[in-house]
Amino acid sequence: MTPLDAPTREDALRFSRVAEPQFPAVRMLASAGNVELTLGSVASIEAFLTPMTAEENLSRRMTGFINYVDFKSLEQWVRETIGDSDLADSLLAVVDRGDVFGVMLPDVKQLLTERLSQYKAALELDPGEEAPSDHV
Amino acid sequence: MGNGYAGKILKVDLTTRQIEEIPTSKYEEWGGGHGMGSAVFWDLCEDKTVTGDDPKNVMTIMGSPVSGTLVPGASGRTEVQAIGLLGYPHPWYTRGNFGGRFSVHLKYAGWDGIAIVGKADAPVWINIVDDKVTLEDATDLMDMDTWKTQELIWDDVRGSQSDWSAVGGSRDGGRSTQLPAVLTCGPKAGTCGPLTALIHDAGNAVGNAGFGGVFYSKNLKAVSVLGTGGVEVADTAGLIETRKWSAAYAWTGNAEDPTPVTGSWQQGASPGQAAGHLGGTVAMGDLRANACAACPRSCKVRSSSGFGNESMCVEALLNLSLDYATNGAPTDATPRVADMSNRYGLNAYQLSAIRDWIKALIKKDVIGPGKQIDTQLPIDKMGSVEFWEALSMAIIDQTDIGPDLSMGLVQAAEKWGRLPEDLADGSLPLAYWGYTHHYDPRTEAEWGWGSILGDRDINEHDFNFTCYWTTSNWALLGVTPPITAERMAEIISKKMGPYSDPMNVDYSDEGIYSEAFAKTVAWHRHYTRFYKQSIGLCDWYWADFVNPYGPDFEGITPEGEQKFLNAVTGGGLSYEDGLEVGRRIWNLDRAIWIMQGRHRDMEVFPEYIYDSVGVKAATPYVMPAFVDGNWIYKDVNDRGIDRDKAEEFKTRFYTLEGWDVETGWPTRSTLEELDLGYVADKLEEIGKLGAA
Repeated sequence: MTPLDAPTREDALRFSRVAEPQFPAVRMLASAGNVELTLGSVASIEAFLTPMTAEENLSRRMTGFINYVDFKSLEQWVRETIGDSDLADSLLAVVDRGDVFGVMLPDVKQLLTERLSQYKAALELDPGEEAPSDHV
Repeated sequence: MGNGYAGKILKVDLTTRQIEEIPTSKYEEWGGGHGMGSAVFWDLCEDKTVTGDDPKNVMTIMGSPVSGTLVPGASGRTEVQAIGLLGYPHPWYTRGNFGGRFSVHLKYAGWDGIAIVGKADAPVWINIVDDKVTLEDATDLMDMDTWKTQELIWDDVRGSQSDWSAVGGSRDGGRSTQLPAVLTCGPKAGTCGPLTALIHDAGNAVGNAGFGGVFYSKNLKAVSVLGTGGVEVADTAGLIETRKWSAAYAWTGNAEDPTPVTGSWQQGASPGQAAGHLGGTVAMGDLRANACAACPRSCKVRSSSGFGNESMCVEALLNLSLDYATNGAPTDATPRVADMSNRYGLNAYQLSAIRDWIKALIKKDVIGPGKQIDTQLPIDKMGSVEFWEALSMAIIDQTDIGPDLSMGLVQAAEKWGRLPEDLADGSLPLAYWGYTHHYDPRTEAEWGWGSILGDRDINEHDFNFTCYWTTSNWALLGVTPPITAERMAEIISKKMGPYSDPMNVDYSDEGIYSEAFAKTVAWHRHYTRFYKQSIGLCDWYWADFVNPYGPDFEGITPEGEQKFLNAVTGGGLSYEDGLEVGRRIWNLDRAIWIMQGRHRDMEVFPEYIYDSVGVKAATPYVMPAFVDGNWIYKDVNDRGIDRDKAEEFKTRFYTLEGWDVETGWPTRSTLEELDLGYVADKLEEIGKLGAA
């Protein structure tokens, strides 16, 4: 994947915010059913996505889980709600491959992780430091 | 030679404070557990139309012949039944069960079950130590949480021996190393009955039905049992051999197993391995495996943090979605909230419905200070322990919106003038009889049909693990299925006994309304009524349809059920015999519901389940389906239930069961075929016997 252009500090602040409407996601858990939830930021979506192999997941049996999001919808949310069109374009390139969720998942996760690093660099934050989230 | 039964059922009349023994032999034909409990309820509950909090309500707490034995995924299950407090339009006679070690101690104390009738004139707890049964003063316990209650009872039974439990008067034979097994309701459970659970140890719960409130209504805080005996089984060597034989079916049977085949197979076991804490939600310190008695699966864990111990089901998820929304990731608020629901004895499924409903009401801008639903609860802090503590205390102490919620969520919606809108659009997620939307009736059709034709959210994962969870994992994670959909359908249909049909698991848009699917639902109702709920086979272990360690992927069902049960009882019950007992129990239960007012017209889903609304399941649902002449794994997410076809399905099901298709009431010939002529007489007496 081609690295994205670094955002400006102003854009990084905007892209890092907790936005409304939040993005719908589902925690699929064999033992208790599916829990719908919403995520408000790129950072929270990145944290939510949990790549794992089917073997790893299913070896958990009833405690297996999938943190599911619809990647096509994610691309639209990042474009329209967050406003990060560069990230959205990269997500679209992954989605357009037409792979199943689990195959796309590591690439989407990597995209988000790298983009978060760029936000933090632009904001001059340490890698482990949280971006401010209470501003637009 | 024994047969697994202790030989007697304890009857406690709280009104008269009389303790009696009922010979188990009178009810052995029902197996144990739910079947035995329903038969005892039928005999002891003089008026089956009373409400759950009426002193005439009868509660049975039952073990089974396999309780306390080495039958895996069964020994530690306890079944509870009574008229519940949760439900709409009517709380039905219903059931629930829990794991742990209660049924084991019950058997070791010499009892197959307990029947509780009447109402005490002052708060009591029942103290069972082997043959000795006493009613103890519970005045100081009634407002205590479930954990504190258990600790105080443990101390009480221990007496002066701080590390031992007292079981007799002699110096050398009068003490046990075991803590009594205690089942208790939470604080003030009578004030919030529909939302209450019964709790045993840290996190074993009879969650649904409002049975905590039933306890409280009887002035009963807890039942404690400590047993020092054993269980005599018919064929000890056969039982050991069967357990060893079944281990061959165990996926990840030991830590070195490389798990070569992907799947979510029921019989898998992980002895000694700690499962992911709270379903992998959040690691909280070092973990140690925890299991119900005699079970190799160790589904539960205990953590060095002390948070979330034994929490494995919906309580583990109660705060998770809010935690993500609030904190971006799970925090220790999630296991602490799980603990809170257990400690307060509140039903986590109903709390999860309250959570989702409040979120929807916030979006609709109708809840908050001075709004249509006026509340001072910190709804701006959902996701925090503070919010859940405030909500729990409002329910328990009957403040703020607590009294309204405590009536039941449908009833609260009615009072707030929100019922039609919120139930129709799914904001109030109650899919069957006022029970919380669990797995989706639109996709996992057997779950929906079983629930709406029964008494509650069935919470039975037989098809769910194999036909939804495993297959959806394959699809979502990009795995080539190790068996085809056609082979999966073939295996499962082979295991349906008299209900076998090649199309049993056709989850296509047409298949879920078919005659074959009616057979599937009938099998499910009868199998679970006997094997799971009466014999106590754990829902997370049985049935085992498809298994990579079995011959040609065939799981241990039905051979396993028979081998284990007959090794314990010494009987010759066939698989089909067991299904027939299940059918008998199912019809007895249905007769009780009919006496409570059940009619065909009531067996409908809320509006949002039907296709006229268009609220769809949020994730892919990949299931076996027969489409255009071929078996495929198909995403069936995008559909609702067709109202007309649902009615046609009900007619097919009633016909299959031998019930009047106009009313849904069993006919005399059906009941007499099941040796339930006395039940037919009663239904005829009240004018509710199905027309032939």
